[in-house]
Amino acid sequence: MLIEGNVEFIVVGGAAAVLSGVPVVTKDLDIVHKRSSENVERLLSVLSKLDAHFRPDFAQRKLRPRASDLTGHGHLNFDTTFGPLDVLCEVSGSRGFDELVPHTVELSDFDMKLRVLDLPMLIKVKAEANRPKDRMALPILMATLDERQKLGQG
Amino acid sequence: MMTSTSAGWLDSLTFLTEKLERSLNCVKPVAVRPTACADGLSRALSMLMGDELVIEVRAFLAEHDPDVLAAIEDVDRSLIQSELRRSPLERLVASVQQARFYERLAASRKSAQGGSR
Repeated sequence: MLIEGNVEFIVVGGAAAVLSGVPVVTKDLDIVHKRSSENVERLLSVLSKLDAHFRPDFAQRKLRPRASDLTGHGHLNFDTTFGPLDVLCEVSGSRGFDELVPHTVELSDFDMKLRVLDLPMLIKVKAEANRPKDRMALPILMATLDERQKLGQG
Repeated sequence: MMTSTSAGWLDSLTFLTEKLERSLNCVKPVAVRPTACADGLSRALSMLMGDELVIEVRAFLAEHDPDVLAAIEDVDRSLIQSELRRSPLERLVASVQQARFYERLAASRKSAQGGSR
């Protein structure tokens, strides 16, 4: 739906790792979106269709995202009709869509194009985050990059 | 533990992967386009930038977190190598299947615990 809605975004996190060949399992989707006003409008429209609301939802109020949330700097965690969706304005400090684009690969084997954060930048972001779960992931991410380089996949 | 809503994403991913699989079956060889050179250059530059990033990360880990750096050598590479023999699409499918397996496992454990109370 994000692609059909012409939303400009980059797949990051676990799904990006899986697509890069890291043998991990992921159940949610993390994206970094372009924060231009046009793109934010498109993203808001898709989020509305997905019935996206903030999680956790302790007060059962189903709070909806606003344009100002999507133009900020934070990490927005939503529950949607399709499951958890994390919309990240920036990762690892102040890296937004424009800063990350040079570090992406476009998977275009498909009848649609999917922009995915590349493995070196994914590793750097995880190292900078320095949370226990990121430290645990680093060895397998770096080992995967080693193996990719041996195969000439970069 | 998986939530019931995560099944929605899994269904969505399954749908996407089936769609991608169909489109991959339709791929035909194409003549080299002028943009292919630009794509190649862009890819080479990206790889160089990637190398720099990884050197930075390795230096950072060597200084601040040598245990993580040492752990890289201990990783069993066989699973990674088998993943890399797959296409991104196949990796996605395998990940979805594994997630489904864990979801079923978690659900059966939960119901077993409920039954023993």
